[in-house]
Amino acid sequence: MRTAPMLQFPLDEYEQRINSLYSVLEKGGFTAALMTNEDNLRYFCDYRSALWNNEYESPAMLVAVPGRLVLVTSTRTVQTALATCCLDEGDIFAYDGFGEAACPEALAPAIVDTLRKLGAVSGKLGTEIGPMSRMRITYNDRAAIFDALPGLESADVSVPVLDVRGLKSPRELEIMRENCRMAVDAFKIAADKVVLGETTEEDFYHNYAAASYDLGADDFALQLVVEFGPDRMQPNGVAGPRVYSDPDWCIFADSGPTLKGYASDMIRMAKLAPPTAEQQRLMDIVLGCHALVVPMIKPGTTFKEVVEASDNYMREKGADGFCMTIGLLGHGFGQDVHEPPMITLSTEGCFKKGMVFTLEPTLLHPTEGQFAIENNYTVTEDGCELLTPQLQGFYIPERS
Amino acid sequence: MRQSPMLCYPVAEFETRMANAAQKIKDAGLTCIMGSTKAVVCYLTGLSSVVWCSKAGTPGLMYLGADGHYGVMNSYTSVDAALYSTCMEPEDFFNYDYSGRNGIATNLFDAMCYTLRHFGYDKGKIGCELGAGFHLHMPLSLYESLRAEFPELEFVDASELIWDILSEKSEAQIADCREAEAINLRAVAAGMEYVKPGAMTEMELYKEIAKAGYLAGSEHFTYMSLVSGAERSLCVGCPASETELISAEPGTVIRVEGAAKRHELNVPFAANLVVGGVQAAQAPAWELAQGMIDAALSAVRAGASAGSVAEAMDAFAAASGRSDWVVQPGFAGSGFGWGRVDGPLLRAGSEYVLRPGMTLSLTASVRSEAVGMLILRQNVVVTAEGCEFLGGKTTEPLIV
Repeated sequence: MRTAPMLQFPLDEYEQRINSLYSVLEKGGFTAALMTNEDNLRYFCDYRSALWNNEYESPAMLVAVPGRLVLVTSTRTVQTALATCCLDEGDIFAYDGFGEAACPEALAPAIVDTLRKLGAVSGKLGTEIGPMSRMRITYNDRAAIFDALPGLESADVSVPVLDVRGLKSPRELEIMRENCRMAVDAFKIAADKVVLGETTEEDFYHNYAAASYDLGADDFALQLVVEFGPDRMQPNGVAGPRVYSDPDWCIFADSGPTLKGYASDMIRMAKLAPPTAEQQRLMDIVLGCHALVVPMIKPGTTFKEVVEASDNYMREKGADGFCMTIGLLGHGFGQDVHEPPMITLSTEGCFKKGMVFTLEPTLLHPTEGQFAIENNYTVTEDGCELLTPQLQGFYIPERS
Repeated sequence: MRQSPMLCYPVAEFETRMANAAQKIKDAGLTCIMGSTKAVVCYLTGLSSVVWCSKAGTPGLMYLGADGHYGVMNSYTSVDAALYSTCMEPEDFFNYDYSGRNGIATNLFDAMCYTLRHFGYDKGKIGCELGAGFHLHMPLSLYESLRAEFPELEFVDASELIWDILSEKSEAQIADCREAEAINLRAVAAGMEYVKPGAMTEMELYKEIAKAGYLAGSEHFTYMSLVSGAERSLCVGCPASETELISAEPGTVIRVEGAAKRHELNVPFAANLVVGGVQAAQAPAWELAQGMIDAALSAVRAGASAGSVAEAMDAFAAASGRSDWVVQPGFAGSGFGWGRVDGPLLRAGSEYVLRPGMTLSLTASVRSEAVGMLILRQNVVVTAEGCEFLGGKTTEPLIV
């Protein structure tokens, strides 16, 4: 391994990650693993590229066999691999036309050749075919690889790989803390710029993005959801042209910027007038849910216990009929904005130290609109740490 | 169909799109197509969601039959967002709800099976996004389960057909593309004002340009590449470096690539900021690249083949005696919109016929010692007689 000019972490961080990958191969009885998506490439070797933003190109892929990890890329873009990725030059295999729109037929033969060179021609080939995973290879190319190497059988490697990624190192946590803080600080800046009768949802988003860059963020994984008004209850909808035209409307924003490849995902709410009694009541239900379940969380707490507690709380408050998050209270995040574990009633397993996750109790009230606070947490030795402590409840510019 | 509050275009446009697509599906002898990607679902229904960038779910998955029937499957929690942005009627949605409180199923797979049977699309041929330019927006294991569930349904690759459906743009879409092109220009202009060669890193300039892109109205302005100097220029698609200082040496080229987005349409750009202007030793590379673009421009017209554009570019390079400088011989660019690269690909040998209303990005990449790698890009709209610039000419050096 080598320290590439743009490598983000010291080499020992990647050594640890790659060793974890080798353990996955060993434990799962994999002959090899083929990893194609942007998140995995960045995680295991810090390969980065701006060429992911279209469906025709796949700038690089990783092939792992026990004890060796190889990056496959194109001769045209190999210098990008050398600038960003920690693998030795001898472990970067460059093929003419690999992953390029100009030459789609080059990809599958290059992967087949790499697998042959690594002696991985029979046994289990792990690919990212499981839940919460997407392969950055066409279905036809993937099929062509298995056709060319009939001794290989398909198996899922995405679940154990996401498990490895799910436990964050201290260096990762340091970045994520900073990013989560920026996510909420940027909300405050954007909310401070809202002008009654002028500012649109899109304006809010754009001001939020600009503020994020000023604060130090370097990217956006997801667009920011911004919604103004009680009838804007469209979870995951995009910011639109609606103008903030009533100070009693709530301003709702969801998601956040990215820093050094790590996402954030918060929900905050603001208003230009003090909340009505009913708005405050609904917000209090949301905050009460956080206050109830967060003290429960420590290593060993099951996801089911937490969701059950939240669901029961919503029933006690008479809010279960309009609570969107019955049965599903949050999710992990990291390289991607949505990662395992999904914190649901049916998710097996428990919280572990180093997990980073969101809790987002959300009410979709038929007349008052949506009410939510999404906080980010990380599991510690004996509890959990709140990564987004700012602006709990309504933020009211000039009053807070 | 209905005009929802955030539907980007008049509902009549979606009626036309759906009818034309159904006719093409019928002509291709398919029972129906399955669309899982943003390109297909957004094009046919207008569905906007920030979750297209996440691997956690499929914001909308649709079937469109040769008989003109259609249906969208998504989660119950996403249906409000879908109704707010699409042309679909409530009865066109086939929702699943993990909590079991609503919808026709408790998971996507069951909803997909139900809907196929509901429309009688469980026999015959279903066209899917299996080939170049598409990655199924669902776990591959889900797709395989679907295949296993419907043994009398033949799952075939419809990638070329689908790109053909997507490739023509309406006047309204072209207007959005022009707006995005203008955003690109404003962002780059902001960068030109801000850049301080010798006193600024690539990352500092990148953030300023990204910020300007958002403030100018882009829905997303990420996946930008920014490299400066001859050596870094060889890092194709490389993100900006936090440590690389932009040199003040005359002739230093700062290559910025990215794409603004309006109404889900991405418009790529490649801007070359040149410190102190092009130097004499660099001029031949510029002349070659600009000549290649000019040759391609004169070959683009309705009725011409996609291959003829690449062949015109190659012929110019050959005539200039510099074919060995050309980085991607046989390739002149591609369509754009749903990504930075869309079909059709302008590849030598392609007999795909260009049509009025297609948007193309002509690209020329040349490599010489004096500049490293030089990449020029010119976006055009195909017209009956030839083509016109999407915005203005974008292949000139921008002197800073």
